Amino acid sequence: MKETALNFGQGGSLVGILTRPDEVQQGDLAVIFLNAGILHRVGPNRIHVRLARHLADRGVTSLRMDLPGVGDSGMLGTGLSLAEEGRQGIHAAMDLLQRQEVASRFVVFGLCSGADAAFQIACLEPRVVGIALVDPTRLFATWQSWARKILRGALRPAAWLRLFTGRHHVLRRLQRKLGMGPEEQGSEAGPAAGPPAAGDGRGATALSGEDIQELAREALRGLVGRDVRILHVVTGDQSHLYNYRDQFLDAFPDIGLERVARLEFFPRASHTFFRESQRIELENAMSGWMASERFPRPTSSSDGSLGG
Amino acid sequence: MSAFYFGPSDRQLFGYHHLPRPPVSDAVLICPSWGGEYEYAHRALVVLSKRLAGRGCHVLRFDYSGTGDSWGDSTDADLHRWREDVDRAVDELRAASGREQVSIVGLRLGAAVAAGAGAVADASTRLVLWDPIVDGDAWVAGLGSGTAGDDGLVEFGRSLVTRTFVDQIAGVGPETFEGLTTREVLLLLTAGEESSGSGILPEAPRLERVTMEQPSPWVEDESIWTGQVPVDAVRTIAEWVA
Repeated sequence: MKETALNFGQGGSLVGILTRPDEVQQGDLAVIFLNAGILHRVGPNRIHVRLARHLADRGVTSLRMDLPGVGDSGMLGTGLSLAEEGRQGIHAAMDLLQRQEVASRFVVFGLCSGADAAFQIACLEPRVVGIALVDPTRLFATWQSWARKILRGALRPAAWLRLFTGRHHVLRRLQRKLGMGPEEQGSEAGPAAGPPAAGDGRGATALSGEDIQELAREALRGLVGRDVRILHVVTGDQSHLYNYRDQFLDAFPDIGLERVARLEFFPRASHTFFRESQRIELENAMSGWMASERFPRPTSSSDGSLGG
Repeated sequence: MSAFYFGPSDRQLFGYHHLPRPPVSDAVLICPSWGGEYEYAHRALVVLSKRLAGRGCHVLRFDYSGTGDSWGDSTDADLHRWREDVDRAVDELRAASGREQVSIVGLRLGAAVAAGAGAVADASTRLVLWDPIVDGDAWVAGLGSGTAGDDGLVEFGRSLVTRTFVDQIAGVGPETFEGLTTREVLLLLTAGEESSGSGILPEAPRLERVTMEQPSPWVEDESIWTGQVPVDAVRTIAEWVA
């Protein structure tokens, strides 16, 4: 394994660490790790470094990069939004690795907001043939997830107490629906951030949960059409939003998602994988997925953009 | 500015060199903390480095062995090795900057690491001790460590480390800083840490102690999932160093 520090992009303002295996097993393919929030490229509890080295031991090349304005990377100076600069930064990383004949196809890994960025770039960039999404900020409920949540709540005495004293959130929501209570503040659809592919929200009008799900469905349909492979990992820290392994598939039926997606649900893992056993679980899931998938070869006609 | 690796090919350390805005004044090495504190304070140390570079300093930030982008696993963390890393980084900084005199900024555990490094033997070395860990036992207790298994490894501070490493940290105390008695030192303490540095270097004639009502950058602000940047503390350090 060999690690090299790269300074690239406009004026060398972007920083990344290229990890190359002694023996490449997956020629012309590289994984790109994106920042989780504004933590620098090492990742929470060093998981990006560990994953990069774990994958290198299995013949996979990777780049862990800082997006513009995050970690050690400066802004690109385009005057565009942070989100757009982020996308340009990822394009620059791919251009560099392609120019240096390291890789021409990419799997993009992201945790939390990094997962959102990975999803967005996959929709826009035909060189992306796979995405690994860990706890994306937007998780979609299903009837089954609601039923499980209610059942779990029903087993808690405190929930019954809130119900009988009129303080239960279901009662309050019902009151609002009937026009008997205050307007809802915020949403339970996700812990933070905007919808996938909805840009950085500047000047955007608020979208309903149904709108967001429809946007996501169309984006996923595009990815399925391009045969982009998806690893979707959710931890127990999101169990208030996501509580069984196949919830992602059930939220988006009838688009062929099951052909390209592998789902993992780690109920005992935390969002930042703060225990060693959790990190090993993630590493094994990632390397197992990488080894078993047949990542597509993009054609020049591949586009897959979301448009609008 | 550039990211690079230095040191032996099989034990490379990651470094980031901030080039100075002329005229060149000083050379500064930044020694980070460890674990979550390393993650959360990264942003503040980047801002500090840029501020110092803007005042004419060559600045080198780097990762110790077994941390960040440097070689090794968390189980390779070792305070003795980290002090050798500091010395190697000082050599690298001297070579890159062409300046013999070096200032070292050590944050939290980084202050204790720097205080024991060989580079401190040089009488011209100046140090900033930023919220230094002075009671290692208390810090270990605060992070909580389990019982070591048969392999001598233990989960500590969200990392798998050796029992030896935990014991080394527990051994950090006021005496760790005694080698600095005759050095020029800035002891900077942020809100809530006022008492932590009270026991160190009581009779150091060149010690300047500054207490500031500033957020501690190594503590996670849950609204941004990382540490805040204490701009007044950063400015104070930059003005003292350069």
